[in-house]
Amino acid sequence: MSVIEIKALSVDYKLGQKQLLHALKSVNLAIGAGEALAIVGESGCGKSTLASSLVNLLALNSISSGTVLIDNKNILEMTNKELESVRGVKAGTIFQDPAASLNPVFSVKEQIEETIMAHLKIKDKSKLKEMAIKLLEETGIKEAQRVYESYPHQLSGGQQQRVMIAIALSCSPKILIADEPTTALDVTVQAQIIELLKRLKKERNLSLILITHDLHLALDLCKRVIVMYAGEIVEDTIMQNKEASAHPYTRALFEIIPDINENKREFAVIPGEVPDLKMVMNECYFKNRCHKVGEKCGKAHPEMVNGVRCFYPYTKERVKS
Amino acid sequence: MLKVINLKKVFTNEKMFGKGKTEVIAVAGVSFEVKDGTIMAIVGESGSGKTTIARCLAGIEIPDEGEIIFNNEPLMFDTKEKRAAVQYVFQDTFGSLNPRMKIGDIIAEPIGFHFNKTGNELRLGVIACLESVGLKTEIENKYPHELSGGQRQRVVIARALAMRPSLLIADEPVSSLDVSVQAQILSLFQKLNKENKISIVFITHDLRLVKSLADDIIVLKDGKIEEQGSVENVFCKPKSAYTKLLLSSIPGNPQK
Amino acid sequence: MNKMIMTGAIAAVLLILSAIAAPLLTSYDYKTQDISIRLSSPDTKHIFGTDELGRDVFSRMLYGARISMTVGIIAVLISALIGILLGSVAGYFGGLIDNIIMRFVDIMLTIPTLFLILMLIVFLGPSIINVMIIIGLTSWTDIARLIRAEVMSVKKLAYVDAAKLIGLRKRTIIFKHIMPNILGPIFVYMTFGISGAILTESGLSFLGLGVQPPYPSWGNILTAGKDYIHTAWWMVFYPGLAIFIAVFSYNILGEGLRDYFNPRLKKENK
Repeated sequence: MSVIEIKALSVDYKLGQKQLLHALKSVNLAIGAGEALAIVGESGCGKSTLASSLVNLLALNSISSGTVLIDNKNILEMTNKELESVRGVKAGTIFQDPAASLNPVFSVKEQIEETIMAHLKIKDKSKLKEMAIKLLEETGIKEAQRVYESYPHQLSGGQQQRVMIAIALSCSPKILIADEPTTALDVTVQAQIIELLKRLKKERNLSLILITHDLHLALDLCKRVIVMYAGEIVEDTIMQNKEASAHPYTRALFEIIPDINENKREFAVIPGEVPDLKMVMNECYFKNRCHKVGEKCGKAHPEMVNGVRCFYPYTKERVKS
Repeated sequence: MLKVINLKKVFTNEKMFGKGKTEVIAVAGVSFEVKDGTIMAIVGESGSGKTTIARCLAGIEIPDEGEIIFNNEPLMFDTKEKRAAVQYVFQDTFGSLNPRMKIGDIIAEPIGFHFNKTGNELRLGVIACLESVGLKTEIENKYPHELSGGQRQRVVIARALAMRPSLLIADEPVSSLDVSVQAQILSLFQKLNKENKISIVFITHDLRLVKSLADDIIVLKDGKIEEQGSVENVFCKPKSAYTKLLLSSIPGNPQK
Repeated sequence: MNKMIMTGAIAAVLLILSAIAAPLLTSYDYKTQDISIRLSSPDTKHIFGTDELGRDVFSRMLYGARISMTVGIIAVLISALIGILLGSVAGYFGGLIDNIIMRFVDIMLTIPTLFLILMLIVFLGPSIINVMIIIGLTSWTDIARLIRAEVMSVKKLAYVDAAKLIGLRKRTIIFKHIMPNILGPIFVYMTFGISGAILTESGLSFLGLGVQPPYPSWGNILTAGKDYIHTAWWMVFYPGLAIFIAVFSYNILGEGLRDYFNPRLKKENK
């Protein structure tokens, strides 16, 4: 039973006169209950657009088609009022920069309690406080009482992100969308936040959607990885390492992050840059940067076959589960 | 070639009213040495003082205490040659290029200033510079905002190279770039080090980049050196608990 | 170029040109009186009608434009000169100098400008020159604050550091790397400032404290017309319209320039 089902979702952004940027091209995706899924790709691949369309937070200059079903209701056709019962309640979201997502003029107390009041209609003050403190403790904040009374600027980056997670979880959503949740944080804090997300996912049986550019980070948290390129899903695989992937782009993404356990003195490079999303081409979009390119690549656009959009995929190593 | 002895830097914030004065110790006595033709990585989390060290080495910031010896004499920027010898690559690719200048003019400025070239000679210098960092020459007529982040960082590097430095300070030069572009820029640094014999001080928070890039490493915490040594030693046999923590925090590291 | 700049600039240039070319556009003198045709409505001879003394409103408007525009432009030049000087000194050097200048600005801001202007006019006497100088001297605080903030933020940018790393002289850094990047806000301020000064001048003349008769300005034509508003609508309509068009065109010119000088906006428009 899938919690989110995306069918033929396309999103275009209007750019000035008559120009369209095709950010998502007919994306199909189903996410099951309690599943952890990572969406990986370079910037400009459509991963953030996909995340925003899950809660219908797309920019005003966007045109979308297709359906995004959450509990069998199409998010894209909802009114703002109906959306309120989805955002935060069914799906919580955390963003890259916690400092920018928290409102600097309100205390943590006000920001958590506001969310609970708005969605769960609880007005009793002591009950609200109890819930807020419990949430903060659940996200691993040690001095929950002090943090509860603080303002965002008085907290460290890691604490701010924990508060964001507490707010996102305040209405006990079944889905948690994390858009680059650790990019703005220090490495040691990043590791802590990933551990926290792992624990929360297990304890609350969350469907977790992690958006990241870092494949290694994705694998620390998720089994299933969706790789996006030029607005399309190019690979959708359960994987635990490079050998379990099939698309040349996925393999390249693994290789460009140096492995500290290897003694290599050179960097693997994906040549060139992400293609122009204004064009629609009848060929493989990765063709010009691919090292495994063959004669079919320039003649037709590859379809998804067995979770891979490639004419010449690598053979996946068997995954033992 | 570069020797830093007991470098200290304190920032003070004086309040307008009242006597309150807050002091932040950014760098608390740091000593290290960069050997000729090598890459030194300075690694630390935010607030560790790594950027302040970089800015002191490049002369943007003046240290409060300590000595910086460059090519056997105290580091000074009093002549054109000395100024050109130490150059800097910024983290923010957008902010480090004057938005009102064309790329060609941005590169031409240091060449004209340091080597007194004009006209066709100057233009040839600009083209050679752009090519040395892997940029196409058409780019010279564009403005910074028309380029991608990776291209802008190449322009910043080209501007520094235009002065033919022997030491390049790079402050988080890839952290604002996309993963695939990061690798391209890192390869460029390697090439400059090998082919042009430029020594590089590379500031980063990302340990993963260091292993393949640098020869030596300093791990900084709260303005002090936690550990220093060759990359191999520090990665394989880390001594300090903090270094171990950093290493185990790397995503996808099976060591944890 | 965007449409706002084009529209604003064309309107502003037309106004200035018609003010300069006043003698060519009308055969009537602005102060010749002819009581026999007083308060006659617009016709082919007097296209904007005549006033209570039988003077041609169209010629008075054209010559009035000369005065209104001159007052607007000179007043803004005075305020911009003071503002840019004090603002950039405060922003570039900071510290004590900055503190002294900015506290002085704060004091200036506590005095209601209109009362200050009225008071000074009463002391110095109403005249075109006094009006220009007084408007200029009382309206530089905004631009000083603006320039200070701009210089301070540009000074901190990495490309200014980059210019220092090349070894460039302070003068080159200020004029080549800092100034061009704050030119935008200066232009924008000045265009808005002109419309503000035109309005202030009109207001003063309307109160009888600005340009004195027989010299025409849009403000004092309006004042004369207010007594005849029921019988001779053209005496208030045309100067009112002229003020509106002038202020509006300088304002949209300013808005357009503000967008134009914002490189990030330019990128998105592409």
